[in-house]
Amino acid sequence: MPKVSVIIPVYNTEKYLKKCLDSVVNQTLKDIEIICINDASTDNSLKILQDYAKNDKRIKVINLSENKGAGYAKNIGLKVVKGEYIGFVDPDDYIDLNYYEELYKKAIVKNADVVKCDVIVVETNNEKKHSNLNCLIKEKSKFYFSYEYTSAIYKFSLIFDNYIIFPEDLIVGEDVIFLHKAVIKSHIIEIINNINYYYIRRDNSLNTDIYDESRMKSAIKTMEYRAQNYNQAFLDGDITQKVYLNEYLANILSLLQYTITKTNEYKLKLLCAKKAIELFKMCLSRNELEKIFSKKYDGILKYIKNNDTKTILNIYLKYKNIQNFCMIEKLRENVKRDMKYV
Amino acid sequence: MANYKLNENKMYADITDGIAIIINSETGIYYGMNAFGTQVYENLANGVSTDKILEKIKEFGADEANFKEFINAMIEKEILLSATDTGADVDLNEEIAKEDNLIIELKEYNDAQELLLADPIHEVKEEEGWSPEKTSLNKDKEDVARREAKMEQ
Repeated sequence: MPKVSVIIPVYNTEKYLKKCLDSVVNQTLKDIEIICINDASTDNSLKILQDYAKNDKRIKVINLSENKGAGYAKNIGLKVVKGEYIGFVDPDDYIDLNYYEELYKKAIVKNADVVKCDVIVVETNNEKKHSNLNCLIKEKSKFYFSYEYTSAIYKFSLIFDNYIIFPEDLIVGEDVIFLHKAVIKSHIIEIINNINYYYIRRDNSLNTDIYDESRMKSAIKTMEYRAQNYNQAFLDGDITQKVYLNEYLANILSLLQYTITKTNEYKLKLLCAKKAIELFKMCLSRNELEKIFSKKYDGILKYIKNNDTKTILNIYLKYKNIQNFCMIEKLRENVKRDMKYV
Repeated sequence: MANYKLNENKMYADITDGIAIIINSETGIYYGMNAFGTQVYENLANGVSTDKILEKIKEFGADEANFKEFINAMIEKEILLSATDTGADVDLNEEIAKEDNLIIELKEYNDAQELLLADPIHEVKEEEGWSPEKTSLNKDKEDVARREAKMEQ
């Protein structure tokens, strides 16, 4: 059994692939298997993979005859892995040469379900920026670990005992859902610093701020899947009611925030608000959630109960978030009193 | 001469009843102004040049130092950012300025941070939420030694 199985889903990345593969095949941890899934690339990617595989028996190339998307490709990889731990590298990124050695060492010593390292974002002008996500995860909550899934390894049993796979119907966010479930089911998540995963920002990268219709719909679906995951986790007893309510609420508020941050189209904004109300009503502790709203966001609860999507959206567009809407008049009264206007 | 605009990425501003409230959505700190300050702020946020505003308030008899102090405070608190001249004309009401004794006032408040901060995750107490260090360190030495031995293989 290899110590780590590395899954690399490949689609048209001939320009970056060699650098990625070099960083993986030259790892100081030698006992690894490297599963490359070519998702019907139309460039030279398959040829590059096959050349590397000729020289390294640890590389297995799976060639898909039609393009099925990242989620499907990674699930194919999950079907064949044998390693104690599983890692992922995107084909345009690369990793430190002692990356898997250090992650695996930590995983074994701590019996960790997940071990995460640092991420360096390499901008198009080659400027390198350090992600600060690890600080948030360590200091605040494991639920901050909601992206950067490639910068970690996952215990085989965590993934297979809990049937954690990638959704195949999403254009964006399939990794978010995989990671979300893994984080929920993990008891021990370790963070190590000074070992780096290099995330390369490409010009044509999908990571632009504004989404088109199909990506927006995927993003909304992602939030729905996350809500379902929280519901299941609550039913399974993986999280306490307090954590459940906090996370469930955060998920709804994040979706509402998408109306401002992710799309300029009114009908897509409306779709976000509509789904947010739906998610509110899907909450398994709805009475408790309503109590939180009564306490913190009283002004908005009646619109949610009445399915008044348009009013909720208008409030969001005007006030930027529901806290501002619910608080602004109290704050103004406070200032007026302080300035002796009343 | 300088021109400014509201730092919309961080700040939410609302003017009602002639009183501006500005909320820093990252810190939950909010700012309030008196009516004269609100008028001056509104002109600044609309891109009216500081020269035009200063000329007008001097006509009213207001203090230049107070005006500069107000602008500097708003820059320091990242409420205002430098911007290009919009060419907008100054719009100030002398009566309102005089009712406030020609004094521009800006105050900072931190009494609603918890309610204003957008991220409810912060509310999870450590013992009820999750702590990576505690769980991972809760292993006896033998167990760790066994695992380390396995790693060397």
